[in-house]
Amino acid sequence: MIPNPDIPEAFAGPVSDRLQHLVHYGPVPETDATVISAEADGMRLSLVLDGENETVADARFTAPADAPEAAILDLLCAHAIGAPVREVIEHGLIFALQALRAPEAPSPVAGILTPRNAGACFKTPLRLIAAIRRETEARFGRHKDTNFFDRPYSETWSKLDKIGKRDLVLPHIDGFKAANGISDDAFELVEIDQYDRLFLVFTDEIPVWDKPVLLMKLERWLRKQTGERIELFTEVVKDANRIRRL
Amino acid sequence: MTGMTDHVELILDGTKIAWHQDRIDAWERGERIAPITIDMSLTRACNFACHFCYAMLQENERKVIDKKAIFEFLEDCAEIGVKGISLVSDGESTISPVFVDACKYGHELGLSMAVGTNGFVLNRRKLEEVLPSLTYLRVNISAGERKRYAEIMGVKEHWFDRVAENIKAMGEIKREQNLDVTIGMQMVLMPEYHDQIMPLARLGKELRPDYLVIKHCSDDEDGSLGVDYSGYASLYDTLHEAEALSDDTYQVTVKWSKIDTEGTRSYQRCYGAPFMLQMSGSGLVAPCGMLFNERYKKFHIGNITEERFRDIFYSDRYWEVMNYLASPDFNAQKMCGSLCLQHKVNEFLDGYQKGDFELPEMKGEAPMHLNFI
Repeated sequence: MIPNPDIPEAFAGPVSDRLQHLVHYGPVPETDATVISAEADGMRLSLVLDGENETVADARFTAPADAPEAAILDLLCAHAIGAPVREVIEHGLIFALQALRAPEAPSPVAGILTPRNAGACFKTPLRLIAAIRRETEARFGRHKDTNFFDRPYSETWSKLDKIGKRDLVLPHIDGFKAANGISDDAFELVEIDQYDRLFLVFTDEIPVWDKPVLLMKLERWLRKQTGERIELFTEVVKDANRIRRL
Repeated sequence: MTGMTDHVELILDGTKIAWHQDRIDAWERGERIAPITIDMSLTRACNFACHFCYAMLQENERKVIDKKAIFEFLEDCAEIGVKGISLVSDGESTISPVFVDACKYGHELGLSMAVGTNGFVLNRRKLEEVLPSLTYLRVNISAGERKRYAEIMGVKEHWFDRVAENIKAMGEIKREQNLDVTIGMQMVLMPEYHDQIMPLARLGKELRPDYLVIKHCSDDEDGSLGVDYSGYASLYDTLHEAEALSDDTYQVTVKWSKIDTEGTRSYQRCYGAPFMLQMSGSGLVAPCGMLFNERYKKFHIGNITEERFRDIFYSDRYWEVMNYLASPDFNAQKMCGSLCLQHKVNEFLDGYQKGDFELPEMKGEAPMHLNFI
């Protein structure tokens, strides 16, 4: 395959995969619902709103089916459904960017990666989102309150008790240890608290400065395996200053 | 929301990030930008036991920042383009044996240096030595009366007199030597300290620092310090009354922009940390003070007592952590404590990133303390 200069190496594989299975490609079906659409550079993005509120019920796009933008817009639509249109405008492309990034491939930039510097393939999606924003604000006005939208844990996860969650996660932790040549005793899951945060305790087997890197890697692994936004922590250390008191 | 205040000479409630457009442009291009400001401490230790102290939540593996470590750190900062270093963070830097040397050497290297302190060990001799090297020196004093000072700051009552005397000496030395340094007082306000707002504002008027700033108290995501953010609203009249004590050479400012938010954040991503880094008095480099505790090990990047800061800064690990904070992996509304140091910078950068506004064209003379964003 000839590399496309518009697609940074970090996105090439995931873009190619997504283009094989586009889910939200095509025009919006006939509907009485409010539709917010934008067009740029021959591509179109449409958001169908759910009744009176500003939640996206359906999202569709059209674009050349082999263009990398199609993969980006497909992922944007996937994030949009069930979210307020404002969330799509503010964070949709960041989620698409994240989903397209192969973590083992070098980042397109040395510093902070954003849709604005992620390469030519993000230019038109950025234009589309800017246009969607203009239309949304013209229709609903500009929001002055705060966007607190956050994808919750899945229903399956939420229904589990602590033991169930632990049972779900432990095989993946064991799998991670096995895949990375880490012994069973190197660390242990000791708690899942009421906010679903996972707390680990390490033995001395893992060198101090390997722990942060390992924690981030394990967290990525668990998120991928479970589809949940798992957060990893180690045990809190109490203040060592003897004259202070909490 | 730009987070910018009207252009006033001394900005105590807002951010100066928009004055650093070259660095914002480089960040936007995806370059590895050096922090404009680093907030750090020279030690985790403290001789006070303040009731409101966030440092109680920031314990991590303690290492000693000796003269070699801090000098190399300051050299690296100057080399990579850091502009200002504030010695505040999670310990009382003035009790470190390297305090005076660090301030003087940083200043010699062309870095703007600043200090936040309880002011207890800063006698006249030490002040005369250190003040010429500083952009500002701010004393944390959260009460205006001896008894309440002792209760809130966790010390003996007569320590209040010594700190007050030292604040007075700071102003005197500044005037005698015609120094550019700004002398400040800071009240960390919990709603239950309301009785001390006016006594402290009046004390400031008597001691004559350049300003008194009254700020909210930060808390972690579990609310460990028990700050009642809803309690601030009932204090607004008193706070306005305190501000009214300002005169030509004494400014009383309330950080309204933070107090008003009741501890909430308008943004989910943290873009501010690469612009404004925090480091622990243990030498730990972590993006933010709220992530110092061992519990947040996954965000820990390195330690300047073990490795050169320039190597830490150029490492992929540094940028992996910074990118994590800027990605959907992270949600500051849920994963962080309240009202962090980078809050106003984050508001500005998040708004800009979302397209809420264009970068404003900054005209006229830059504000004071420009390198402390």
